[in-house]
Amino acid sequence: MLGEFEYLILSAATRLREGAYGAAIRQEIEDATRRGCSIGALYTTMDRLETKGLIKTWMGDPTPQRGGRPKRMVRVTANGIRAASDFYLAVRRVSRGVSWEVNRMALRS
Amino acid sequence: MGSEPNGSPIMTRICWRLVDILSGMLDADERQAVRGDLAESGESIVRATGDFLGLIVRRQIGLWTEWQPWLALLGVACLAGLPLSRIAFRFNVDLGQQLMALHIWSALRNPLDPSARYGVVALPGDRVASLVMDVRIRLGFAFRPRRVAHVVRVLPHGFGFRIGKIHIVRKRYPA
Repeated sequence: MLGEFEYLILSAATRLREGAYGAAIRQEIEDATRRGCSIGALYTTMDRLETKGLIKTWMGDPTPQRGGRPKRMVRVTANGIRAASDFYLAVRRVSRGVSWEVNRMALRS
Repeated sequence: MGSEPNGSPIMTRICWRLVDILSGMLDADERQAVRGDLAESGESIVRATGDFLGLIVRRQIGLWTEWQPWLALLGVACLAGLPLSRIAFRFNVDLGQQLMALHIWSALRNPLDPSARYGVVALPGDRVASLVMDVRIRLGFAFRPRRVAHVVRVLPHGFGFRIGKIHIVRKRYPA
């Protein structure tokens, strides 16, 4: 079973497709969660995902926008897609009959 | 986007210097990728440095969760450290005595040659620096696992090699 942050990385990388690399994934996660995402957490989790065989990373070409430094490109593997899909289905199953929006409104009132 | 992280010039220089020193603990590829990400994000230099330090701390903690560094520390540094240190010390003393004798003999033979006299004066300093080097070399041997070695090398850096040895060598052989 994936962790929450692992799932976020897999989802962001899948959405970004060919443009998935460290900084872009980080931006995607920050936009989606509206929270800061540290590079340390991102890179160590990416290593873990790669060890599990859920993503594949490689060094891309250097670009002038990054001061001539290369990107660490990311591609989600078939196992990664399967794991993320399982996680998502599990969250959906466990959330069946639960309306967080209603509960949040109830808390406010 | 596209520029180095923002901040005041002095702070920026200090932080980038810190990042430069510490980045030796990362693999070359990862170092470039992370610095590129930080440059691309355009965030403040303080936050960028914090991010970088965070990654290094996580990496180092990750390394020490494996058994190899502990084996190196306990097996080589602690058990073999003492005999290695004694051998290095003995070698250093023997070599130092021979070099000193050579310098004195050379100074006596060529009393007008300032480099020969300088050798007599500089040698004790050289030997102190070499003793510090012994400790550094011993620790360097002990911590071969890649990024751990850098931590061990960096710690006694200012005390031994840079202040003592390089200073003397530069004085003696100016570029």
